[in-house]
Amino acid sequence: MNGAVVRARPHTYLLTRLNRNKAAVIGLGIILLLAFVAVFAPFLAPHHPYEQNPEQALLPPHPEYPCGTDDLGRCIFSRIIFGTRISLEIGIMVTAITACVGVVMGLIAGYYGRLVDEIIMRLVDILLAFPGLVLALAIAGLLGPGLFNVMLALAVVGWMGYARVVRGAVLAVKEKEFIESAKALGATDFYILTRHILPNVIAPVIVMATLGIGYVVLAAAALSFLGLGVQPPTPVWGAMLNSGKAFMRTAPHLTVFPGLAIMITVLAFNFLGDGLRDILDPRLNEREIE
Amino acid sequence: MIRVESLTKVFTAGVFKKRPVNVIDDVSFTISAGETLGLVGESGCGKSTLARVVLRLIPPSGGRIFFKDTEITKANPKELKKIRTKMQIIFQHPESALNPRMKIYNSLVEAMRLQQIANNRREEGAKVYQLIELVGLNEEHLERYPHELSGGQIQRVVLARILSLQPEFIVADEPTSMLDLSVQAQVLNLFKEIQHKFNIAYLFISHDLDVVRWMSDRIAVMYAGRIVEIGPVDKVRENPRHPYTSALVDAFFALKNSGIDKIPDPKADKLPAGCKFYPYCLKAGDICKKKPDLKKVAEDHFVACWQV
Repeated sequence: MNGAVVRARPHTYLLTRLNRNKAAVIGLGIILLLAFVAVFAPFLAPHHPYEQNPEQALLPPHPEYPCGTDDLGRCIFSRIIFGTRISLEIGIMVTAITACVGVVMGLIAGYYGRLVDEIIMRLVDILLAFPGLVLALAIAGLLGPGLFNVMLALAVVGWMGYARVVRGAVLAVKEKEFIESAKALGATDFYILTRHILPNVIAPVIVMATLGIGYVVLAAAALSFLGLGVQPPTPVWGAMLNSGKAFMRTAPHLTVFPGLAIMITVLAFNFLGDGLRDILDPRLNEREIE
Repeated sequence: MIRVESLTKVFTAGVFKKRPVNVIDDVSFTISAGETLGLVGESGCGKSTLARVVLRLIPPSGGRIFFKDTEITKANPKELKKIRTKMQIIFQHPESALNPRMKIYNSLVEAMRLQQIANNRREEGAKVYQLIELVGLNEEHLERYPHELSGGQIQRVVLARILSLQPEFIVADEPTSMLDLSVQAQVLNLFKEIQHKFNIAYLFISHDLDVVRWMSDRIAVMYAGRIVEIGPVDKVRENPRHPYTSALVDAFFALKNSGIDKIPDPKADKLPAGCKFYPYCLKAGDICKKKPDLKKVAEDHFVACWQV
């Protein structure tokens, strides 16, 4: 290496790399669209999501009701649009909470090591020994239905993965000489953790979080499908599936469209997450820079 | 200025059966202001551990370290932070010496910010420009990331950052061993130049005898955690008294054969209790089973060997 190596600026660099990955671009596009739909739901929905119309129940899709109507004559399309709000809200909130908790736990465990590490990681092992969704079900069942309780249940079962990944990355970074230099310069542990270690371990967390949003959306749908989520009449995709399942044979549009909404959302986050992983993978990254 | 007395560091090894390993064993030396003490020894003999223990980056297991009559080994965190401006360290690997996600400028001002040296941003900036000029970098380097600089340039950045604290003692842990020869010479020259300018004391660690000879006033030879010989650089080089030093010097300059073909790795846990070099030494006698102390053989020249 000499002074004339390519000047890479991380941020513009990220966008150009992202641009080369078609799946990631599609994923990002869909996510932006979903965000737009969630924000402007009242202006985009052709009908009020709660508006019942018994004479028009179980109508198949037609221009007035693009996705048809459900058993109470409500516009499924409008309900899906409003459902975007809650799905994204749960997905982003839960992922933000789990990622924060996981990162903090991982940083502490990896940096301080010994007993602290042992306690945190064994707790992680114990929680990971339960199947995530089953544990979430149990917690949500215990707490009772409701938006907050669903988020809490999903947050409790979701942070361990982040903690493990971050701990591993911290173990690698903390042995680097710039950490020792910082200590020799008189830096405190908090300063070293936040300024030196965190920026160097955050890349895999971003990938995990992006993929995690998709997973949380799916898990939240599963919980509300089982009746543990947000309660009717609030439009939620999972609960819509549940109420539509009785009419699956006679009126499949009740379940097909909310199902499609869930699938597209999860897929979009997975596409973007995979793309980000390719870009942020430190090994790939370095090879590209050399 | 630096006085180290019977310093020891014991690590425990082994997963099931814990056993102590004396990585540093009863090491004492002094370094005066503006002086360079070269520390040589093979890989794994405890050189780098010593470097870190002297600065209390790793706590010692025993012994005392004084910096200008302040006992570092007993300093509380606040005192330690203050002393740290005066004692600094440069490491071996340029590729991990700086945070890869920080621009050079930020790495440079970090030291000043941590120790609250500059009063405001302008003063800080002015100092940075002064420093990079001092170490032979230019303005353009400041906006780069560490991976965009060469190893030699990074060691210059590290030196500049340390100099912003106006240190009086710098530990250099093989600072040039990862650089190619021409760059190595430049960086070593810079080290000397800086030393004369600011009257800094160095503890200069290396396994390269040529480099150490060129840099140092005195030289200490370390084997298996102990200093076996310490003295003025020419005396140790021309007239090594300890059998290990002779073997080391001969192996390095390959002029004559000392009769010791191979010096095996000093696996600290398998070495004898007395003189650690005893199993490989041609002069060894029964008395060598006892631990030898450093004794004076000439002016300022000490050797830990029963046979001299």
